Amino acid sequence: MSSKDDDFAGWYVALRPRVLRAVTIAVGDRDLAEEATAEAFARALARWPAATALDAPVTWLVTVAVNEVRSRWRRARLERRHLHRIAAEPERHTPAAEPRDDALWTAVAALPERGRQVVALRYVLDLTEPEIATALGISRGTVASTLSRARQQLAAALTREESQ
Amino acid sequence: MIEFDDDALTRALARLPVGEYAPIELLRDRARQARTRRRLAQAGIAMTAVALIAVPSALALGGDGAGRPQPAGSGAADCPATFAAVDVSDVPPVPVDDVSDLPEPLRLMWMPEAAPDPDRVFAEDASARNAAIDDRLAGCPEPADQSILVVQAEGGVVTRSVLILRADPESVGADESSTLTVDDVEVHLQRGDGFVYAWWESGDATWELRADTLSDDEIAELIRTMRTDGERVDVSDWSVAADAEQLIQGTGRSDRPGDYIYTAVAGDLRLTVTDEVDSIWLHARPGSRVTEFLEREVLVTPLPERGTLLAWHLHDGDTVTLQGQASAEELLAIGETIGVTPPDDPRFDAWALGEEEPQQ
Repeated sequence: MSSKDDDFAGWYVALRPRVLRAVTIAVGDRDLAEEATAEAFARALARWPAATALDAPVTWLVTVAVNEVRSRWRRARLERRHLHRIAAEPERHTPAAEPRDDALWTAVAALPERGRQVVALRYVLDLTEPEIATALGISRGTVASTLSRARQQLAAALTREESQ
Repeated sequence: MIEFDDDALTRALARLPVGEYAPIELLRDRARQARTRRRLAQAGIAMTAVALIAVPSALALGGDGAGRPQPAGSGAADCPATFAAVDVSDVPPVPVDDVSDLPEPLRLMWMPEAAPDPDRVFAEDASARNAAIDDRLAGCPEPADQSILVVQAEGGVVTRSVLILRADPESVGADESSTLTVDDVEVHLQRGDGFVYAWWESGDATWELRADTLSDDEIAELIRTMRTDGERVDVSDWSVAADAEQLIQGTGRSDRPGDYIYTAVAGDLRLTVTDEVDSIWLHARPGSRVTEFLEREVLVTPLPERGTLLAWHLHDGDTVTLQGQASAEELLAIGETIGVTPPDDPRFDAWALGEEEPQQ
């Protein structure tokens, strides 16, 4: 194994917990998150060692993974879904059984797409609102209002969970 | 008001179970494939780019001066073959904040009496992403829309359709279920009931095929007879194309992506408007037919157990689809009322920020 491989392996092991958690929350689907996270790291490896020069590699990885889901995979899924409607072909992507169907996860998955992304960047990656606005290409006001709505929804779920 | 503690939420989110980490061997395989495909694509494009650059150069010598200027020393070898191959995954589309930000020609809605008010109305703006595409294409020839659609029909009703297009090498290859060897070409195939997807590499290009039905023999014949003539895909020697009702070059499927996609949803009724000009025939499936309303052609496609889909161009420069659990006649009656609607229409009060379909 080359030192390049070793370097990447160390980078991957160090970053993957935060990236996978952030992508899981941002996507609201554990299967898709696994796939998209793997794709993002593979892209980084394909360009290795350029990825080491990134200012914020975790944010970059999460953005790439989320955009993968939003663009290519979602488009492919929608196209396939469209074809399945016609061909009655079974869905190829069957969400795995959730390991825990707790109230918080249900609330996260039920958030609007933008809300999940903002929550992931704020509470998993610990980004500030201006950093989130830059990462998502939206205004700070939109970040603040989205975060506020999401916090209310998640707080309600947390409260329910704690009272059980 | 609910009492809330940011730290408690951070801790709770940190406890949520997540999936498995991918083995590093899988990442290495994917990265290796990506590098190989990029090299193949770049080699192919280098040849295409040289040919395309040669044309304006020759014209310039003749005094015409036409053609896209190429910066000195620009790296044609780095030029992408398709728009899909331009990596802009770090520049996401963003939700359109307000309905008034949507370009007027796309701000469409049915008449209030034609259908229920929408539950959700939203749009995405990809103009920043498309600007990034332009930046990354600087010095390169614009990727050609190398795609052809073959539509067979009987009595005006589509019996099958086949789309063949130049593909991004990094976007093909998922979920293949079998392979077919045609001379020295390996074709990766996935078949379903009424659904065929295939991709293969030929020379320096990657090709993709989507069809309702197509036998292995027909795919093999296509690969043996298909040629490219500049930007055109020539399937004139393919028997399936010989009796085609429609043979559409440059379908728009691989063309420059649009800036906006706007959606209005009312129950099972879904209106989608984009500023992409794709051939409406891309929506053709067995049973589709073309009819006319408002002096425009509209493709009507029955969707088993899913109602009907209409596709048409309301204005030059847009593509509109309307889908719903309704007969063709009922949906056409709604479609006929669709037009540009003022941003202060109360039905736009349902405007949401990028709220796509709920996750499955």
